[in-house]
Order: sequence, then structure tokens, then C-alpha cells
Amino acid sequence: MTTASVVFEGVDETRLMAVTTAVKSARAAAQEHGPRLAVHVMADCTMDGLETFLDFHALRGGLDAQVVLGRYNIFHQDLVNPASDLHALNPRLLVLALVRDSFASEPETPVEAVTARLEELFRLAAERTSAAIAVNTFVLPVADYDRGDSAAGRIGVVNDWIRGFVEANRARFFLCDWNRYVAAQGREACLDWRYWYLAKAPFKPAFLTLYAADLAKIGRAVLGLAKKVLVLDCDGTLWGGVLGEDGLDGVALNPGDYPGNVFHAVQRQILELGRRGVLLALCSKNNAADVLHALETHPHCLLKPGDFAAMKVDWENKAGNIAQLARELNLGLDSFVFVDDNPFEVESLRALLPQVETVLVPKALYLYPEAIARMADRFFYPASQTAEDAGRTRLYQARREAEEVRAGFTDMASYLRSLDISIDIHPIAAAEVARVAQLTQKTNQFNVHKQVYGEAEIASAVDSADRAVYVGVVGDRFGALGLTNVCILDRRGEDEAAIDAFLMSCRVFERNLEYVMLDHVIGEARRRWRVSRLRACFVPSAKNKPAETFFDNAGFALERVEDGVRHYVLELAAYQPKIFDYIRKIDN
Amino acid sequence: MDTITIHNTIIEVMAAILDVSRDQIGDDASMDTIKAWDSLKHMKLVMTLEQEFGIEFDDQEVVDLLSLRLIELAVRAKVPA
Repeated sequence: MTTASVVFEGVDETRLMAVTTAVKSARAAAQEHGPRLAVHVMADCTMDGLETFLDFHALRGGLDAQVVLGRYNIFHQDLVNPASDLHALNPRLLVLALVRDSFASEPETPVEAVTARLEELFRLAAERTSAAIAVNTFVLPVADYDRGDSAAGRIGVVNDWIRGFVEANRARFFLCDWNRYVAAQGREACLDWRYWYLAKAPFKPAFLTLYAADLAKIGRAVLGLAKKVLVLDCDGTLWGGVLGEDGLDGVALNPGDYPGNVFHAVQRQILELGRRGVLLALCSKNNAADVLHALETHPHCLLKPGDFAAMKVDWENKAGNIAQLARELNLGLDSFVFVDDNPFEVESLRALLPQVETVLVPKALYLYPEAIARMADRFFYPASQTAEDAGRTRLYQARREAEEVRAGFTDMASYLRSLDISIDIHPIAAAEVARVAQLTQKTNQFNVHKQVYGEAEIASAVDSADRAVYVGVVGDRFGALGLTNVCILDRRGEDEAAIDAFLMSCRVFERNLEYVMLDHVIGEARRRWRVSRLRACFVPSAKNKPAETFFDNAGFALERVEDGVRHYVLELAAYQPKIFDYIRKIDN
Repeated sequence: MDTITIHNTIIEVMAAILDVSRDQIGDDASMDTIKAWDSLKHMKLVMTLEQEFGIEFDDQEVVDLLSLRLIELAVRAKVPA
């Protein structure tokens, strides 16, 4: 999005007319609209208009949405019938837009009857598609009293169940809280009683635009485009005042006073983002020892040194430091968000590193927590947390220590030897399916051909005779690095196999694990399928330069280049494995 | 708002929402002459007209807004001159 993004500036996103016009101009102005996002909307009410708002929010977020509104209220059939429009589209995002009336014919319908029908539909949608699925809460009625067994009370219980289901199935399911939109805009602006009773269309544009904005954000997360790192300044951002001048006792952070209570509240929000898998980093002009001392010992400081995956506390230029953080964390600058109270720092960063999103601490400090909440909602929603995410900060920290150790070694091999690297390569196990699907989405750098797979697609390869998924689980003396390597092999006829996917998480770069992985799968292909030739291709993207020469280095012959795609072949009889004596293979 | 502005705004809204060019919307434009103008588009059209003019139509009016002329009459009656 370069030329087209201008079109979206200042557009009133609640007006159908403004949004329709902006979408039209954006589509006319630019040839490319970013990665494609196919969305299928299944609704048991009339959702027309949502497609326009979703197109708008997706384009503004750098996605090219293709939105199909399914036929009204026949989703069971569409899910079950393999020839349906739904399956023809094969969407990345499936939106279930459900109103309560379809699930509870009477206000008295018991909660269990409603949740049982919802669960049946949710599970069917998860089984029959490989899409991420967005579901909603039901809009609560106006209730002037609630005795617990009222209609409003029962809807509240159903909504809690929906939240719980999404939480328990967060690898596939996302929640759009319809009550949040109604609370933000007011019932009057959101609910269209006239069209509800005339055409079963419950919502006005003010509601549809908020709903569409959330769906577009979910789309970005599903495509692995959500922001990943929150970089924070210290003075005036994590606490009030200047640590170097006011001293540890002088900074404002006490929850009992203003403005200490503001910074305390902000730290709590930041901590929560860290728990949800956002990587936290510091970039501040201070004495590093002072900052560490404050984080460790200030009685009201909630953020501890261990909460940060990386720190740049010195007197250097912040743009240079953030670029350095990006290298250290092996992430693109476009996955960074930066918060600072100094307009100069924010402005200069915008000028020097426009890929980084910036947030300026508001002058009216009481608005700061709200600004952080909006920032979190805009850039880090939805939080997709897997067990891997939760342990990620710890991993990055261990690696930071590793980098410090590395400084003490003169040559790379002796450093790598000191790491005691191990890799356990095996066919994928059922419990690893979610992580592998996630890696196909999130891995941009060492990925020879980025193809995003859903869990269902990965799972279907587990028992296949002609397709095999191998994973590598890596560890070193700093701890477990987790499942970081994936290779998907396809058998092609009697004598050939082809690499369909070969990727490696950036946290294990520069250890030559990719060659160990390749060597292992070559052995497996020979043993299992008795093939004598392996094919592979490298499809260049904006980010996968780290994998560009992998096949050449591994001994593959370049056969041809077509439309930028490099096609390789390896005669296995001539294959010479690379040996790395510092990598220990764990045999099962 | 004068009648010319009202007329032009309605044409603009119809062209955008029904996705047709302005010159396809003649004075006699109606649900019968514009193919894209079906009942779902009609709903979006009504919502957009309401937003653009800051007015609201009731249930009967919604059903009656079947042509450019009828829309113009209904909008003029609601928008202060």
C-alpha cells in the first residue's frame, strides 16, 4: 500500500458513502493491494453492507480482501456439501455472524440448549474448513433489572460460554464481541429496529464498521502480519519524571497518587500484553545500570528486567538502536511499535524508520492508559497465544545471554560447539500440528516458499502415504528452543520426491540446523519411498533472502528459473552431506 | 439545502451504492430500469441516503422509495431548505 493509502486519510469510516468511494478510488489507484484474504461470511441475519466496510478496513490495513456473503441461514448445508461456494472459495477467514433468535426460539430456552447448538455448529465449521473462524457474542437486551434468571442473564451466560470456547480453541477461533461495539457507539446508533423487522438486518453502519475493523485485524493476524514487538522508552513513558535527575524515589509510579497511578496502570497493561505473547523491548536514553536498578528495586514497578526480550539503554540514536533490536530479535521493522513521550523522538523515528508504528504519550496524562488500550487494540489484537508464545520472551532472553557469551569466542565454530546444540527430528505428532500450521503462517525469512497451511491441511498429511511432514525440535545449553524446523515432502511418482515446504524459525538461525534437517529428510525419503531424485524450488519474497542460496549450498543443481522461481534438482546418488560435529542429533 | 444539491447528492449516492455510472441514472431511473437495484442494494441505498442527508425514513417510506423521483420528493420533504 503506497499510493492507495493516501485515499484513506480522513475518511469517516462510519459512513457507507465515504467508505464506498474510498474503496473505489483505492482500487483504481493501485495495482497491488497486499496479500489476498478470502473471507466467507455465514450469517443467519442480513449482513449486507459488511462486505463494503470489510473491504475498506482490509485495504487500509494492507490486505486485499475478497468477501463473499454466504446464502442466508443455510450454513450447515454449505459446510457439509463439498461442492458449495464456501469450499470453492476455500477462505482463510470464515465469519459466523449469528443472532440469538436462531438458537433460542423463546426467551426461556435453556442456556444448555443454546450452547449445545452453537457448539455443534462451531465444531462442524472447524472440521469442514481449514479457515480461522470468527464468532460473535449475542447483543444483550436492555434490562433494567436482572434477577439472574432473566433473558438478559441467560444471554450473558451464553456469551460467557462463547468466550470460553474461543479461549479454549484459540488456534482456530477468534471472538468479535458485538456488545463492545454497541457499548462504544450506543444502541441507537448500532441497532436498526426498522430493518430488523423488515428484512432481518439488525445493524446500522456505525456497528458494521467496528465489526469489519475487528475482522480485518483478525485477517492480518491470520496471515501472520500482526505486530510482534512493543518498544518502550523509560522516562515519561514507564514512569513519570526523569530517573537520572529525580532519582529512584523521585519518579512517579505510586498507584496511590496522580500521576503515579497513570504510569502504574500503563505498566499493568504492558505486562498483560507481554503475557499475551507480545515481545517487550526497552529503548531509552539513560544509564543502563540506573534503569536495571529501577526495574529490579522500585517497589511499584510492575515490569521487571525479565519481562523484556531485549534492551537498548544507552545514549545512542533511537532509530539506530531500534534497527539493532530488529536484527537482534531477527524480526522485520514492520513488526515494531514504539512508544515515547518525547515528540522529537517520535517524529525522528517516523522520518527515519517509517515502517515502525509510533505512539506519543498524550500530554494530558490521564488519557495515557486509554491511548495504550487503543494502541493494543489496533496493533496487537487479536492476541493469538500458544504455549510457544508464552515462553518466547524467556527464549529471547536466553539468546541474549548467548550473544553475550559469543562475544568471548574468536571463531564461530568454537562458539557453536560451546552451545551444545541438539535437534530431535521426527515425523510430526498430533500435538505438533498447531505449531506447524502457525510456523507456516509466521515464518517469513527462512522459508523457501511461503505457503500458509491450516491445521486441517497439516493434520491430513500425518497418515498420508505420499506426503510426509518432518519437524525439528531444537535445544541448547540455554534451554529448549522448541519446534523450529519444518519440512514437508511429497512423493512424485516412483522415483522422485519434492520438497513442498522447508522453513526454519529465526530463533535458530546461523547454526546450520537447516542442513542437518535436510540430511535427515533425504535419508527418510530414500528409506521410505526408495526415490533417487529430490526436487525443490525457491520462490523469492520480500523477506526470504536468508534462504535464497540454501539449495545451492546444499548441493542441488539449478535446473531453470521461471518467473523468478528457482527450480532445483538433487540426484541423491551424488549427494554429499555436510557434517557439523557440534550438532547432536537425538534419536528416537 | 437547495433542490439541485439534493438532486446531485442523490445521483452520487445511487451511482456509488448501485455501482453504475452517473449517466446511467436518467430522470426516470427506478428499480425497474436499473438492474443492480435489488432489494438488498435498496437497503444499503436507504441507509446511505439517511447518513448523507441526516434524515430517517419510516417503514412505509422505505418501501415507497422505488425511483429517483420518489426519492427526491421524500428527501426534499425532510431536509430543511
